[in-house]
Amino acid sequence: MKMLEEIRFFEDLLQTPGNHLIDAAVAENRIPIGYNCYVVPRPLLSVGNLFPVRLRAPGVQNTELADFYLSSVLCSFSRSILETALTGGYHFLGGLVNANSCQHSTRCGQHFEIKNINADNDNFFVHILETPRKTYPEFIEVFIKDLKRTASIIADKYQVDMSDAELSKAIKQHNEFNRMLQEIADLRKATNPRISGSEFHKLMAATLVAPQDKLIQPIKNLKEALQQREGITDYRARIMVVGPCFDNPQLVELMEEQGALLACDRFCFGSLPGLEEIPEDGDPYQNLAEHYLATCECPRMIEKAETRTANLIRWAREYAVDGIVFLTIKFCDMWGYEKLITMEAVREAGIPIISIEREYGFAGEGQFRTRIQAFIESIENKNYQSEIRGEQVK
Amino acid sequence: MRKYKGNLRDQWIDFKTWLKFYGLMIKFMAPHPLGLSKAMFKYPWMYDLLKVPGMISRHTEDVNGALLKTYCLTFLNVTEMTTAMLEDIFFHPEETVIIDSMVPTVIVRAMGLRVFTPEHIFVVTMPMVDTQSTHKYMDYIENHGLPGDTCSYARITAAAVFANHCPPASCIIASNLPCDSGQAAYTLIQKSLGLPMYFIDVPYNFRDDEGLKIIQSELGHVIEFLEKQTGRKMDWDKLKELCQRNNVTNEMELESREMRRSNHPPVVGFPPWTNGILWSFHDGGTKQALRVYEAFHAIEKAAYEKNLSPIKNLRYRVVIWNPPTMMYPHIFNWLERCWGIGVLMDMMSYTNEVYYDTTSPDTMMKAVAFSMAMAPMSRHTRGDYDFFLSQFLGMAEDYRADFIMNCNHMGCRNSMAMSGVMWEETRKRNIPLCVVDYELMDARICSRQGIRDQISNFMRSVIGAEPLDASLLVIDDAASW
Repeated sequence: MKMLEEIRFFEDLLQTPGNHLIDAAVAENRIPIGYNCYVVPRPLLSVGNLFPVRLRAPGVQNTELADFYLSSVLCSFSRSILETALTGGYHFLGGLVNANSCQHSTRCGQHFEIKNINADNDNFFVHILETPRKTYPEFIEVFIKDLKRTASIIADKYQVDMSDAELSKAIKQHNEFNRMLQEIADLRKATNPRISGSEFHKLMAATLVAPQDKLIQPIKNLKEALQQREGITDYRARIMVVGPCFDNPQLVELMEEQGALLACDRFCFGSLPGLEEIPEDGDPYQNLAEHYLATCECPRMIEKAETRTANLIRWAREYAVDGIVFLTIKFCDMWGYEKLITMEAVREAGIPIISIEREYGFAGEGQFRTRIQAFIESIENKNYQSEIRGEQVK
Repeated sequence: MRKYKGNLRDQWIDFKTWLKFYGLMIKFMAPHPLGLSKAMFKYPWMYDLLKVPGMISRHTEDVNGALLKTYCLTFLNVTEMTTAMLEDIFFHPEETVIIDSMVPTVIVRAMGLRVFTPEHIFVVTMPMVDTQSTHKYMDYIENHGLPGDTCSYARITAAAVFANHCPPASCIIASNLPCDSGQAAYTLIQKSLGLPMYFIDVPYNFRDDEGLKIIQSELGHVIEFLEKQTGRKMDWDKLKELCQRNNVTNEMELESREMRRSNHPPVVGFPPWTNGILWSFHDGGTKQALRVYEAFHAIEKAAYEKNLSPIKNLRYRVVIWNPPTMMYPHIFNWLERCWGIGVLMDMMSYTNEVYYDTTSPDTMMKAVAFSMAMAPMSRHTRGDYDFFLSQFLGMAEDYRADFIMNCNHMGCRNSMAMSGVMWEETRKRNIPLCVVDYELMDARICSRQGIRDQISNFMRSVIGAEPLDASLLVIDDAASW
């Protein structure tokens, strides 16, 4: 199926670390604040004239400089981010809120300070956000304190009104925006969805790297275009991708060219989690802290392995997927172990699963294509065998 | 045939140690011949532990005097500690708690419970006894899908449990220390054993008051958890006793460090490193720890007062960053004999000066929390980079090191991610940095000879030195020793 023209708008935003919407917002004296991980609350970075930009590193071909600092055995996502930073790719950022989500990204964030990134901006700051791995009340308290510390750093640097009222307003706007996206995300549950996985992936990734208010009209245009469109029928298997950072529309297109339909995205930059509503009543900091720690599906979270696996299986059924692609980044310790913990449980649930290790950038295309082809064939074969035996498929 | 030590006194020490080894083994096996025979069938790593007498020979080749005495003392006590741990888990599993190596054991011991640390068996003792004994576990878990590039320290422990080679216990206490691999490994261990587990979350800002409060509160939860799981109650008097012993051994440790900082350090290399890890941190506060420290300290002090050099020709004072290689634990012996390099201090043992204020349960728990925050490796693998660098450079300054040896274990992401900055900072200060790239437990990735070559190249090209014994530059030890 031909890609919608309306999607091109979002695709264009993903070609470089910055984009024309960020430039336009900066020209309006708005301040982009970078962040590295899902657990950094976006509403906190959306107060007043701030807007959040999730760090990406599109177009990085090699990581020579970052390899010197981080070594070549760190995950290529962190290395690509640092490479982009060292070569001036994030010159537009007013600061960085870097969660200590994993050791790779923490060290990467620390190097923004060590190497004096954006030194020409006196207000540029790097804050390593204390992000607990448990959701016990005392840890929520710790998280709240550091979110408040982050707010005070931003208020000092950029004279932004970071009051509770302003933060509550940002949470409301965040929820409204997500509700709009959720309507599109739900289309993927249909047997013949009107939006492909690669299109949705472009949309989702773009919403994380541009000011949301500038995306409202393009999203409305997209919704209208989707209403006119017929459902996708020419796919061989609905798949779910599970894993860490994944913001590579090319790779999704490659999967879909082989007959897969990415129906469910359980990865960073995806919508599971990502579109849940944040409670609006009560203390906004409490709400943010509880929400982000509770919804985080990363293996960094302690004592949640069983819940993660259960959620994975639940989503697989909800989105009626035929198989799961467990897509990890090489050298990622957390997801490396998670694979061992998850795969057995998923297989026991009767869902086909394949594990593929990749680099952050678009590399190893041939091998990736072959493995996806083989996986789809194995799913088809399984479904065919089930049909012969008279069993209900899925 | 045991190699002659060069003089009758040292030969007698060596022979006495060898006899004591067998004495310890008999003491361990005699009361439980049937139980241990069954364990042999169930847990194949037990066979590896039988190779223990080879361990001391490997480490003490051409070692004499005070250093030989400390080696013998260390190995005898490692054996005693290991056999005690095995006896606890085999014959008293309901009273035994599996505890990750970064969690202080004093709380568990104060509750009258026994401790089993899988890392002690699988990644400390086993490679010390037979450097290839851990390969089977690395291969096993890699074949099951775990990436072979994750830290082998955590990977082997998880693999042994995953392979059903870890005896059951009452429950598990784990933590997110020292790194993500350690945390993830214990998630797998818990799933494999199916035991109740308490997971301690040590915050990123672990050294400030808020961070320490969190650790203290986590340790409080550990007590509640253990009370619920085992029915035992916290005995604060016993905790006081353990803390007081820790204070005594820490005093001795600090005095030992002063001696090692001097121009004529009495002991270098493997024994002080092992001593610091096992009896200052992990098994700190026990009667055995006090006994080991007293004996060790007496040997060191006597040698120091007589101005005795630990090795024949101590030419270079060196500090080691990162864990010294476990698949080549006797590397210290080669460094000393081939190049005259004496390792005075290492990252794991550096700064462990916790004072346990025993005036109340709260003050004791504060100190235990602090000791956990400052646990070996953990204090460098989390938190800000400033602390990492200040320790890295401070250690070299404190010990007036001729150079720093950075053991770049490829699985240690935290340290590897500081590689560039470490180069830059040492260059600024004109401190030579010897970088040794290797894999902590796997000589198939970087061989022992590969490690030696990296060091020899550095010594010749950067330091401009020639070896004391050129016949040791290339040794055929691919098959262990």
